[in-house]
Amino acid sequence: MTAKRYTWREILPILALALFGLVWMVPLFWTLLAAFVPTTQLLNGSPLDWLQNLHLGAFAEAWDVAPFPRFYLNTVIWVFGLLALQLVTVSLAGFALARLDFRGKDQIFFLFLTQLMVPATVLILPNYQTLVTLGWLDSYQGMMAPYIASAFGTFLMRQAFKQVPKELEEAARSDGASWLQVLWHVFLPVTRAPLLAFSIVSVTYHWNEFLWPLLITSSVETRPLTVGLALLVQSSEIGAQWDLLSAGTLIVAVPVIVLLALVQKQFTNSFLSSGIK
Amino acid sequence: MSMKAKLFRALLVLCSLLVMIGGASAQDAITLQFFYPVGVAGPLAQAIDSYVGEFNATHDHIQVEPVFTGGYSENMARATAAILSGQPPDVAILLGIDIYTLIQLEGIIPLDDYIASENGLDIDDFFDAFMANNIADGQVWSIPWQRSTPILYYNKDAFAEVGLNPETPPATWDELIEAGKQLVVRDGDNVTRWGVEVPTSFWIFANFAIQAGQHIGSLGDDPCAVYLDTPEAIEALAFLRTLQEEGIMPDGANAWGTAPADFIAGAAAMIYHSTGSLSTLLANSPFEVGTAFMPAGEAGYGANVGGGNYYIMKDIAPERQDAAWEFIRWMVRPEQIGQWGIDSGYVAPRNAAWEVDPLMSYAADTPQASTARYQLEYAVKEFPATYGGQEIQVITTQAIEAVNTGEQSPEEALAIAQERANEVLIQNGCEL
Amino acid sequence: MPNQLHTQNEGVEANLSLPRSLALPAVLRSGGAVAYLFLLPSLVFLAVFTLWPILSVIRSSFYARRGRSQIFVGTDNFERIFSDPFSQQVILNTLGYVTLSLLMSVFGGLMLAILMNQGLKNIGFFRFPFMATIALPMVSVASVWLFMYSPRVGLLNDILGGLGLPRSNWLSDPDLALAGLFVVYLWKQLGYFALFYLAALQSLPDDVLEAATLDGVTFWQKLRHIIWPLVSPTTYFVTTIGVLNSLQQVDHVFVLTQGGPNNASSLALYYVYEQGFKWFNTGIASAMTVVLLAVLLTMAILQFVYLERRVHYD
Repeated sequence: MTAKRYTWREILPILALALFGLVWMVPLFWTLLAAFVPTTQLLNGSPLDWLQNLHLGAFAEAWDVAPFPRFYLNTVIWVFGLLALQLVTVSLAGFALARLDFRGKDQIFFLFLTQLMVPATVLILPNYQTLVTLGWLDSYQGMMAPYIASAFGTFLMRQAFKQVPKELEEAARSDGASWLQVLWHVFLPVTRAPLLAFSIVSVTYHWNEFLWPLLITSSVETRPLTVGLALLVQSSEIGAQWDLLSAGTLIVAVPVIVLLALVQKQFTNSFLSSGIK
Repeated sequence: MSMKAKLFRALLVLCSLLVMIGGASAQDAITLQFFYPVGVAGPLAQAIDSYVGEFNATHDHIQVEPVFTGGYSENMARATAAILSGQPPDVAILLGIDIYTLIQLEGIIPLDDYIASENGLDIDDFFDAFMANNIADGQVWSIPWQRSTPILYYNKDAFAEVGLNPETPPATWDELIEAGKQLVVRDGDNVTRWGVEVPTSFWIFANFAIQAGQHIGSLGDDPCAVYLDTPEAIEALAFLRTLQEEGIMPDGANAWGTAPADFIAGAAAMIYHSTGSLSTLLANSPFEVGTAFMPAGEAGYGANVGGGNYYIMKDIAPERQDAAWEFIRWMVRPEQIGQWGIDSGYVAPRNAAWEVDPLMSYAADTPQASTARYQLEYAVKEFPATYGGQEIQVITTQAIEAVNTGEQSPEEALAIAQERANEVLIQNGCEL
Repeated sequence: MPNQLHTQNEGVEANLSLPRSLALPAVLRSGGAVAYLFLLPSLVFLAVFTLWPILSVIRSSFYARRGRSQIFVGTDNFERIFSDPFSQQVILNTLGYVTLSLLMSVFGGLMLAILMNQGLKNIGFFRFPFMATIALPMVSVASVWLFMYSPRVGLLNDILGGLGLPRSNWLSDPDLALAGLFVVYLWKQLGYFALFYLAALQSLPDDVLEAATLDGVTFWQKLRHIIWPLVSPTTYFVTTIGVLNSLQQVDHVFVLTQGGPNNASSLALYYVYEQGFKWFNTGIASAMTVVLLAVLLTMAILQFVYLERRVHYD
C-alpha cells in the first residue's frame, strides 16, 4: 500500500479540530491541576511552586469528608437496579407492540408517546407527592420509580424486534414455545446491540442525574455521587477549598471518562440510537 | 400430624422468634434521626459526626444518626418536606429565623418543660442576643448551637504595607472608606487588591441597617414585621453602593464564598464574613489575620446575629422527644460546645463554655476568637424571623444584588423588595 | 389450539392482506391476553408516574398552601405567574435560553460535525474531548466551571487579562450570568448534537461532497445548497431534542448561580424547584409546571402537523 499524500486542505481541518479539542479540554486540565496543587499555592504561587507542591492530600480529604465509597455503592445500586428493571419492562412492552396484536394498541402507543413528550424532570413536583403517599421517599425504588417504564427503550426495542424475521418466531412457536420463551430464546439473543445501546444511554443519563435524587434522598445510605458532590460544594461555601472541590469532582467524573475512553465507539453509537423516536 | 400442620407450626415458631428479636432490639435503643446543615467549611461535618459518635458510644439506649443535608436553606427545605409528609426527623439544627415557619407548620415543640425539668438546662447562662430568635409566644422553642455574627476580617500585613496601623482597624464607616482607599492596589485598569469585600447577602446587609439606626426586622415577637423601605435601610444600601463607586469594593454581586477565597489570596484586604469562617481563614491565610467589630454607622456599632439551633420535632413519640432532649443537653455541655467553638469558629453561645477548658485557654491564645463574643453587646435578633422567611431572605438579597450591580437605586430596589415581602406575609396569613 | 389459531391467522394476514375488519377480533387471539400481560409492568408505571402526575399537577395549580392545609384559589397562581415581573423574567430567560440552545445545537453542532468529518475520518482520538463532556455529570461540569468563573482567582479572567481583554464578574453580572450558564451547557452538549450531524454526514455518499469541492464552489455555497438540504431530517430531529434537552437544564443553575443575581439567571425548572421545594409554594410551582406542559404539548402538536405535511407533500 502506498502512503497517501495529504494536502493542506485535508490537514488544516484536522489541526483546527485538534486545537479546538485542546481548548475544549482546558477546564478539565485546570480541575486536574487544582486537585493536585494545594489551593494556597495555586492562588499565590508560581507554576514552579505548583510542580514542587503536587500532593494527593485533597483526595484523601475529600474521601474523608464525604463518604464517597458509599455514594458509589448507592449510584451503582440505583443506576444498575433501575437498568435491570427497565430491561424487563422495555423488552416485554417492546415485544408486545412489535409482534402481538391486541385491542387498544393505538391508545397504549399514545400513552407511551406521552412519556416521550413529557420528560419526568418536568413532573418532579407531582411525582414527589406520589412518593410521599407511597412512603417511598429516601429509597432506591423511589428514585427509580418514574423511570421504570421507558418509552424510549420500548420504542427502541419495538423497532429492533420488528426486524427479526417472522420465520424464526414461527419455528419456535410451532415447537410449542410460549411467547415468553420465544422472546427469551429467539428475540433477545439477536437484539443485543439495541439492548446494549439502551443500557449505555440509561446508565449515563442516570449516573449523571442530580435534581430528582437530590429531592428524594435524605441520607448517606441512599444519596448518589452527584448529590454527594453538590453537598460537598455547598458545605464548602467558604469557597477557599478548591483542591477539595476539584478532587471531589474528579472522583465523580473519572470513572465515566475512563469508561468512555474504553468504549468510545460503542458509546457514540448508543447516543446516536437515542435519536430514534 | 399432617405435613401441612407441621409446616404451619414451624412457621409460627419462626414468626414469634422474629417478633421477639425485633421487639427486643426496639426496646434496646431508640435511633434518632438528626438533620444538620453546615454553613461554612466542609470539615465541620466531620466534627459533628465525631461528637455524635462519642455520644452514641456513651449512650446505650439512644443512637443518633446524623444526616448532613447541605447548606442552611437546603436543610430547612428538607426538614419542611419531611414535616409536611408526616415523617419528620427527630431532632434538627435549623436557623433561628425559621422559628415562626416551623410553628406555623406545627412541626416543633416548645422546650420549657424540659428546661425546667430535673434534667434541665440553665437557660439564663446563654447569651441574650443568641436567645432572641429562640423565643416565641413567651416559650423557648430551640437551644443555641452554631451561632455567629459577622465580623470584620482584615489583612494585617497589608495594613502595615500601606502605612496603616495593623492594631487599629477602621471603627466607623468613614474610616472604612479611608482605609479601603489606601489598601486598594491597581495594576493599570485592573485592581489586584480590593480594599474591602462585603458579600451580597441579606444577612450582612442587615448589620448595616442596624448601624444606620433601624433594624430591617422585628426586635420583638412579631412574625409579620419587615422594614426594608425605611430611610435607614436605604442609607445602608446606599453606603454599600458607595464602597463600589469609590472603587474600594468589587463591582457587581459578591458571592458568599468568593470573599474568603479573595481574602486568602490577598485579593481583598478586608472582608465582612461570619465568625464561623474564622478557623479556615486563620489556617489558610499566608499573612496575619486581624478581626474587629464591624465599623459603626451613625447609630454606633450593630450586629445581626445568625446561625443554627436545636429543635425537637412534634409528630414523634414522646420517648423519642425525651431522647432528643438528652442528646441536645449532652451537646451543649460547656466543654462540648466550647470544643465546637474551637473546631468551627462559631461563638460558643453560653457563658459557662468560656470559663472552662478547652475554650478558656484557646481564647487566651487566640484573641481573634473573642471578637464576636464582645460584639454581642451590640447584637440584635436576626432578620427575617417571619412567616415565609426563606422567601423573604431571597427577596432581600435580590434587592441588594439589584443595587450592587447598578441596576436600580436603593430606594427603588428596597421599595420593590418591601412590596414583595408584604405579599409573602399576606399569603401566609399576616394582616398588614 | 389457540396458538395454532394465532399462527394461522398471522399467516392469513401476511399472505392475503385481509382488511382488519375481517380478521378475528384482536382480543380473541392468543396474543391479546399475553400482550396485556407483557405491557402491564410498563402501563402501571406509566399510569402512576406519567399520566397521574399530569392530572394531579393541573389540579394543584388551583390551590395554595397555608401552613399544612390547601386552599382553593382559582386561577390566582396563573395570574401571579404572568403578572409578577420576577416570574415573567423567568419565562423570558427560559425562552432566550431555549432559543439560544436551539441555534447552538443546529449551527454549532453542524459546524463541529463538518470539522470532524474532514480528512482523517473515524479518528476517535480527536473526538474524545467532545465526547467526554457529554459523559460527565452536569454537577461535575458545573463545579469545574465554578472555579473557571471565579472573579479574582478563576482561570477565565486570568486568560482574558493575559490577552488584554477586560475581566468580568461572570456569574455576578446580571448581563452575563445567564450567558455564563449557557456556555457551560454549550461546553457539555455541543458534542452530543455534533454526533447526530456527523452520522448524517457520514451516511451521505462521498461523491456528493467531493464533486461539489472539485467544482470550486465556496464552502458557504456548499453548506447552504448541498449539505443543509441533505441533513434537514437530522436538523428536524436535533431541533426537537434540543428544545427538550434545554428545557430540562437545572443542575448548573443550582451549582453556579442559584438563579441570581437578582433573578437574572433563573430558569423555569429552577423556579419550580425554588417555589415548590424550597418555599413550598406548591400552587405556584404547579402552575409553572402546567405552563411547561402546555409548551411541550404545543411542540408535540407542531411536530405532528409537520410530520403530516411531510407525508402529504414529500
